[in-house]
Amino acid sequence: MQAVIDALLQVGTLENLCLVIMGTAVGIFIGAMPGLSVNMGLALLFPVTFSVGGLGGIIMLLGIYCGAIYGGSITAILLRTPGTPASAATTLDGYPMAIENGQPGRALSISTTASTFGGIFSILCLICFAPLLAQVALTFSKPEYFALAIFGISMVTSVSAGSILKGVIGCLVGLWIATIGLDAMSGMERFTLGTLYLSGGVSFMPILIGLFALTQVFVNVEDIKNGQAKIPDLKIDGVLPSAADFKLTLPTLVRSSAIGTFIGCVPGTGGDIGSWISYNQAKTWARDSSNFGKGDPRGIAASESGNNAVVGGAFIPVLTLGIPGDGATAIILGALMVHGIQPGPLLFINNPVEIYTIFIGLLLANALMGLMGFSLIRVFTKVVNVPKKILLPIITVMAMLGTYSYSNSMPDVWIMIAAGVIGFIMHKCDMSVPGVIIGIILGKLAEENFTGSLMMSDGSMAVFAENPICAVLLVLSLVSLMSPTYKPLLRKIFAKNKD
Amino acid sequence: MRKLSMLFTAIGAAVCLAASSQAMCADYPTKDITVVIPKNPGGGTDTTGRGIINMMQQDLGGKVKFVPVNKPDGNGIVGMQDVANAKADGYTLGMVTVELDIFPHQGKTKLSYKDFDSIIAPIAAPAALIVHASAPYNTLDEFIDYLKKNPGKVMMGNSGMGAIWHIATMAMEKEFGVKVKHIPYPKGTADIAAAIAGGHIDATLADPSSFRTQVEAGKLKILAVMADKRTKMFPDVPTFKELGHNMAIRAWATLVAPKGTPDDVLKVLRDSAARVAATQNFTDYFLKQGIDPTDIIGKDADKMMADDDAMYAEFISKLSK
Amino acid sequence: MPSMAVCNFLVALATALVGGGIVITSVGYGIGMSMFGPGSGFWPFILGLGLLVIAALIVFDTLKRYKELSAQKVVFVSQGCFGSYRMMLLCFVYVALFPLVGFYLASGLFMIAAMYMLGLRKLPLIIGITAVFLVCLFLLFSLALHIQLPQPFFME
Repeated sequence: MQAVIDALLQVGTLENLCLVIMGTAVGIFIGAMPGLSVNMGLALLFPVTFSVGGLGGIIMLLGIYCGAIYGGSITAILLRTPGTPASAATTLDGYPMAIENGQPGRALSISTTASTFGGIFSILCLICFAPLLAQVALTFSKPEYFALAIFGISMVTSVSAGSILKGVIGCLVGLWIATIGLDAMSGMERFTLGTLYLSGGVSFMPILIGLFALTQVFVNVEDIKNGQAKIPDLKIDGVLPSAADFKLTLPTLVRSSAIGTFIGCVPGTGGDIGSWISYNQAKTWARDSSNFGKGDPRGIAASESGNNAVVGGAFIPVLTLGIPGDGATAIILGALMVHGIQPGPLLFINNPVEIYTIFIGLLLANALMGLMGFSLIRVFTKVVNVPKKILLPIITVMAMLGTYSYSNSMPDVWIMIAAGVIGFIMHKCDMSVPGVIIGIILGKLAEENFTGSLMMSDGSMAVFAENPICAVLLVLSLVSLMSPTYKPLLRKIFAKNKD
Repeated sequence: MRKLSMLFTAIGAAVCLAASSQAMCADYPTKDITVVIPKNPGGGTDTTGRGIINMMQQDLGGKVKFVPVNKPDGNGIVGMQDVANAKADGYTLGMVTVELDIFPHQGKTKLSYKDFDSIIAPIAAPAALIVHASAPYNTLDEFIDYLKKNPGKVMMGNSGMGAIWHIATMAMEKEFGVKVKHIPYPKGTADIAAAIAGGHIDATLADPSSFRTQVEAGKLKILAVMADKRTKMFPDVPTFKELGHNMAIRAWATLVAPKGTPDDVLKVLRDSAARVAATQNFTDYFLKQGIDPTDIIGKDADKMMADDDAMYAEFISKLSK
Repeated sequence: MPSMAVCNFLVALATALVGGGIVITSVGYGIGMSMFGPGSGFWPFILGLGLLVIAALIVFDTLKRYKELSAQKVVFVSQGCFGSYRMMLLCFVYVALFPLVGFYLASGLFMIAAMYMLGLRKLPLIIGITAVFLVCLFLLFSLALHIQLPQPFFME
């Protein structure tokens, strides 16, 4: 108890409060800007942690991390451009609700609520169940990771708007793009056309920005030139979500936060996987999922609570095992260690004050994130009212800036433009884009663990059936993949029963 | 006459101006220095690079900034090439990793250590033999015996086929006449730590920084390190050399300038690095993150890169037979 | 103006070509399964096969719904589309200018050209917005964050 009070006093100093507020604000900005990655922001501000004493710097980094995962949803909802890959799923329902249905305030408030809910839920899990969940995470080996990746990929059939077959094409192409480059499982270079750039693989960020931001720019230009530009007259009633919305999304929030927390605690998976799987599960379990993809609040809630819940979950292996889940947690882990905090089983015994400081810091960062989010909703919505003729060139410049600054590479920018043009053609041919993104993000996870499992089992395919978690996930994936075929059937059966 | 003298004065002034804009005679550094890091932000090389340049920036008075730029394209080769091709005036530096000595022998690039002048190599993490704490072997020899009794069955993790830890494992196989199963974990050594701790694989030869927490918690144990001297972090762990096998494989990262950078510029950088390396701050920064810091500076770092290059040339040609 | 049916056939063709290419290249990488695991071409081979299968399925599906899909028109030629194509061209030129005149100058030229193309005619407004926006970007990215952006060739 004394430790908790000490921790509260530590966090409560003016300097630390300023740091966490600044960190969260910077995080939201980095998250909102496509191309600016969380890792880059953390790496940039990492040296600042040395100039400030105590844990202030760490708390600032926590603020950046939490804020960034939330920030991506803002541009995802208003501009159909995910600011971070973790918010790609939010575009599916966020943008339709905000722009096509003319309710940007509602979309933003649902996403802010969901993000805060997911973050706090996962931090509570971290506080209460960290060692238990860490043990579960350790049981994950290559077959389980493969099955998880397939589970994520299997949702392509349910999130593809329009023609499902064409959505699957996008997914397969995305998976293939992930294979380009040096194959770490064999040491061979594949599909590189002999170029140096391709031997490192195709970066997915330019493709993400191109397929979402740039394609949307081209589509909007077409609307303007056709004289079909809608001039939205958007008013906002309230900033907080309505009671009805909250009640509707509550089951989704809880389910998605649980999924996100679990995915976070499995090292090597991140907010992007968390948001997609949460979205898919929300759609699967929704009684009436016909509105998904057209502005269903549950879609936004699922995606945003799923990705923010990964934050708390990701700290579970970091704090209990000293094993980082991804680049961002690796940086934070490094910062913790440099400050003398040794993660691991002895952490709770050796440094109780520091642990509670981190917990409180995380909770505070999430609360601030929610606060800033809600208070800025009116400001953000003004963005939508800016005339498209001015907004579109600005978005294009930001897309170029974001792509270039991601890895300082000109070929990336060309790939982004190519992706934008191809995205436009895909839009015309009724091919949906999420599949490609799912494929690229999950491709390496799926293939490397597929190959790796077979290497461990000496080439025996039985390994996938022998591991229970893997087998269960694969069966669920099959169910998910086939859902478009039997879902209408189930709906008919339920409709009949209702009569 | 006056016009002529004015003309000469003007020319003289222009020459002085031109000359002083060269790094040669003015105080270097006068403007921001770009440091190209050929890896993604957040990784070991990135935090090492940002750490050392941050300290050097403070040492040099802080008027001039070292600006890190991440260029992970092409497995880092593009970034390293950019530094090699940059103007050798001391305003473009870079980090290079041990892959610089490995890639050329795998046909991946024509770049080599000869294209750079070193400033400092702050880390040179040796390959450590790490196994699960409950494993039935406690020394290198016991482990090798176990391998001989179970050929091709013991699973050892590495960070990618053809990458440094895989090469280290293959070198061990050749040296001791044993066979193991190589399991790559391309995301990095943190995944290997989780895999050994979870009992999915048996061992690994890799740099110990990602495993330190588990070792100190008693979940994993280190049997030996492939280094010339014992590490500061694990002083009780013997080296392969002590145990009779002269193997030293280390993953280093070096801050370099393009070849041909003027000597006085290099001197400023190397002296600053030497001062930084002698501080407690430097040692703490790396030790706390689980990395043994080294202070291999200037020509010594050049020699280290040359030695390792020769070693990998030999290894890779032997291993591919 | 092609119909959706034609569009589908073209998509199927493109998919089949890409899939076929992947399959052939993958075989070259080795698709066998050994005790060391699958060859490095195994996984891409499956992906390529999948693409071929989907291409065939699309052809079947389109033939099945031929009437309905022929009626659906895909608009590639229209006032709106030409606007989009002009925007694409502007983007190409914009990026090509990066190494020549640097990021800020190229962005400035692009924004002026784009806003004009989209129908904005008040020149002072265009230049004003461009200037303010680029100054903000400069302050934020170059000064505060020290993010390196392409420089004009005359400043190298």
